[in-house]
Amino acid sequence: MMNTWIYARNLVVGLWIVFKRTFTKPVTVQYPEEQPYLPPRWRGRIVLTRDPDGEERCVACYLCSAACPVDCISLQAADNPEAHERRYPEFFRINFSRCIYCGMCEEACPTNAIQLIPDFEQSEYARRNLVYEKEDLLISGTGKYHDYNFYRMAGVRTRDKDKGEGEHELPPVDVKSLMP
Amino acid sequence: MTTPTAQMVRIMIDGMTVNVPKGTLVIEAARRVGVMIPHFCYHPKLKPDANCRMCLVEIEKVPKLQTACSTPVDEGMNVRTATTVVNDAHKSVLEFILANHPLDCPVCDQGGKCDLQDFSHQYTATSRFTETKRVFQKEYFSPLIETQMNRCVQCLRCVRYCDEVMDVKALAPVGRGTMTEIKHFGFHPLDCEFCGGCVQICPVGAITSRLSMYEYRPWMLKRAETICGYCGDGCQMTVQTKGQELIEVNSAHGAGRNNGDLCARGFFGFHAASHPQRLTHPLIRRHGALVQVTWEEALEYVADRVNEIKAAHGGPSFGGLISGRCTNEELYLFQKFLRMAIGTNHIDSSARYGHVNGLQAMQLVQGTHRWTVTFEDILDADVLILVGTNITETNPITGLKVKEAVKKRQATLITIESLEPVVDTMSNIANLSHHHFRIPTSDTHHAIVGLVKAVLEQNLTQPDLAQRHPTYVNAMTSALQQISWQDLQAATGIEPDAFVRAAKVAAGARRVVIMAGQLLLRSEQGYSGCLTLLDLLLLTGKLDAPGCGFAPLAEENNDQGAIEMGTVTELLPGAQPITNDTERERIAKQWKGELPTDKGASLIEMLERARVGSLKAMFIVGENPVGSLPAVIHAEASLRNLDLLVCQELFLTETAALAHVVLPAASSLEKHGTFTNTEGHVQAVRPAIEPVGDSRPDWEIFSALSILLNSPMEYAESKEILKEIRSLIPGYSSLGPTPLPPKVDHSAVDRYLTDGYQRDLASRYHPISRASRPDGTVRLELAQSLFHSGKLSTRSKGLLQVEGSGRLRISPSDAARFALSDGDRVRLSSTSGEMTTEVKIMERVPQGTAWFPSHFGQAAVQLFECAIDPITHVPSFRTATVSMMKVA
Repeated sequence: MMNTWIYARNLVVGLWIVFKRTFTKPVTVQYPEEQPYLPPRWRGRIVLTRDPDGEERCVACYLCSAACPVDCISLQAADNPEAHERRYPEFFRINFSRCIYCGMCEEACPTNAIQLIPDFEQSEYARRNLVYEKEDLLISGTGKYHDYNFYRMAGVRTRDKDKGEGEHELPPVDVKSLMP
Repeated sequence: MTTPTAQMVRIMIDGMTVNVPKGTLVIEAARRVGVMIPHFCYHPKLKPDANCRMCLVEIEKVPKLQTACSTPVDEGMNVRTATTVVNDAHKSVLEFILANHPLDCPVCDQGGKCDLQDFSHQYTATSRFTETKRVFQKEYFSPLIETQMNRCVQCLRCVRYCDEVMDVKALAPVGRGTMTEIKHFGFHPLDCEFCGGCVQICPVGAITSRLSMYEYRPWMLKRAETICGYCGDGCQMTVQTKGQELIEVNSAHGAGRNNGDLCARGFFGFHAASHPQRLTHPLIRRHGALVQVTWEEALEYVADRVNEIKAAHGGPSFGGLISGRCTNEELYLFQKFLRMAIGTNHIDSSARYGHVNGLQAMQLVQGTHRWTVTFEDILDADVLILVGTNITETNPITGLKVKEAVKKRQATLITIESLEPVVDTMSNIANLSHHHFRIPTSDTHHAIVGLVKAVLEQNLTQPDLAQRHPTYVNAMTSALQQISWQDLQAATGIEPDAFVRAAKVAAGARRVVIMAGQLLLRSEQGYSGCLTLLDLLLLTGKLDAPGCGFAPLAEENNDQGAIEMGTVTELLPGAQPITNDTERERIAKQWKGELPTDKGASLIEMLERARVGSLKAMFIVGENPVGSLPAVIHAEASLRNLDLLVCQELFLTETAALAHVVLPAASSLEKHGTFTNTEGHVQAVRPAIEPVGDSRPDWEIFSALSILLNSPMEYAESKEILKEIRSLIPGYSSLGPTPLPPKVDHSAVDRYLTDGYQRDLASRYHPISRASRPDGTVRLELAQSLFHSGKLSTRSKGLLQVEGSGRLRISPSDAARFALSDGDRVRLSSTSGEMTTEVKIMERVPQGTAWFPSHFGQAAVQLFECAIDPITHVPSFRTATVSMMKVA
């Protein structure tokens, strides 16, 4: 008698859930026809951004490759003869088949150049296609940080500005003058 | 620096008691108990300056904080370095420094090894100064050194190092306060010794190396502690590599015999090993051209030809020449290979070019084949006598020891050099000299004779020497009486008084070290000059006195090793004469074979025999006789006459181009081994990179050949060879921090004093006959340049940027006489040949003399006559009289 009562209650409760779900909006997204919403800080594909002037932000300081726990970033710093005294990566390579999307590189980056963006669509048929070169990584925008420009505050001369023309900089010291 | 005396004081640092000598600085005492006080401007090598204020500490009963780097310790002092007050002080000093420091760590090469970065992390420093930052105009500084003055913290370490240690004074602070900038003098790029000291000593990224600009971060590099392969000083250096790429060289403070100092060659010359023209494959001559083959083919070909020639003409038809730049193991195995596998005594090494002179003299007089002094004795010396050294350019780091002895330890310096004492872009040892005898290199011997004469005439001889060996003293006295002061003055242009004064200083001092450099050792009077210097020590009783001795400076990094390994024809391993029968027996027993009995031939004799056809085959390892011997030797014709010439080389040199087989060898940055430096200290060489291409260490090649020739000398690694060397020469290379110099062998001295001196007394002390130089000519000398060593360094891109080609150095007065200005082309001609070159006016060159750097000397060497020493068989071709003419 007792058992029958329990069976009946379970049946009703079960059917109640079934009917309730039948009339609510489904969670399943019809990917790829339908794209899911990803929050802006989602850690997905890595990009290299440009500063507001349109020059590449990366100065090849090697901090991202040092911070990377799986050693998937390799680069070589060089002096760009066209934009003088601007240090830049001669090559910049991320092996996404190894990347664990931890975001340490983004945290280490002192110039906000390397950023993780809300994009996960990186499937490839061949593993070698997951090795991204600088051309593949570099985007034309500023990413998450719109105003930051490292070379405006680094005190070095670049193609478009001379010494003393950056932010918080005095005009260059005239060593021939005795005035402080 | 206050000199620490023996008196010890007890002080407390952060509650820890430490006993240190009185006068030690607080910062040093703290270091001893493991307390690191942050600092920028302090450096153990430099005098305290206390300008950065970073090292403030609290001292009990002193009202204000004190700088630890300039406060000497005193009995009962109680120092606290970790209190809130001290920490706050450090923080605010850092805040001031950061007020103007740019935020450019990401593009700064110092990032990762920067003191300022580390302290900022340690104190989590921020700066409240939001005002604008001062910036400096950036100018091209120099080809090798990059400056970014925004980053400077004005500690002035570079300026002080350049002045106090190097004595170059190329840098100076310009401006006031925060606006101070480190600059060189003049509007041209920096022109100095390029020792790299400022790069090494800069605590921040203000001065960095251009050669490795942007190449690396310190954590990416692999380090190898090895020994520099450029000169006999044997400096320890850390070669830093990224994969197979050579990135940077530096030397830690306190490391090795050089105490962390390097010269331009060590600091910027490392690229020679990775030059694109390195030989990477064995080459065999087929139909007149060298073609690439495999190692098996090349070695089998050599073995077959060796067997053929040996069967037809016997072992003594072979000869061997090896460079003093190879490791001890290779030098040892080379002579063992030639003596045992081939069966010839015709062995020579580049020590023959001069070092043999000093060695033979030492063996004759004092019975040792090494210095009886060390670098420490140079530092402690009361009187230093430099003879024909040009020490700054030939042995720069030994030069630093001399500078330190004179500048910091008040030694008296006597120099017999051809340098004009002027202030120049490079340091000039003549400027520090108290008794400078400016004498042309070819007349150096007369000045030494002058000193000996002064010693004898002023009765400065050791009192009991005349009693014990009256014949020697009498013979010397009578020989020197024949040389009059008038002749000496005419020959040297120096007053007798000057000799007397210098002789009195030398005889009255307690510790006297005489150093003979390459200008003397490689000259015609190399051997007799060394003997005369030893006579000087003997007469004044300094030869066996503690801290005194004779020190011939080796030019190549392992000249000393070549001699000790028996890689010259007259010596067996252990520098025992080949005529010593007990040694011969002992070594033959160890080697399980028979030593060849023929009398060996030295380099020049070998070439002569090759020319007449009695020498059929030669092994030449790392040497280039065609490029470095004068035309009168006819080295090229001799080598062309050979049936087999095997060269082991890094590059296809003029000699290797004549070879039948060229085997690619590994450079000293690519192999294990040991080098023996000029003071006889054996130091370990470690590989920084893998051998380039298919090249192999020289010892592996000898070993492989010996197996093919059926007298196997098999070793798994070079350490096994060192073990064998140790079994032959007991106690060889203890590889400790300092060498133990041998003692003077008194039986040898007695032998010399009774009859040994007679052999060439007459030739050394003879009346001077002076040939005058015709008008319109100059005395051309082959000189050593600071920026090069041998010919290997001319493949180094860094050094080539400083000195890219050989330029004739002439004095301003000669330039006026011949109406020349910097960069003009001149034609030099002598009876033997002629050459055309550019001139460079240098004030240090004496009038009537022209120096040509021997590293670019291929054309210049043809102008020289060659004199061969009858006893030591050293060929000397360093001076010639040439006529000079301006050409368009």
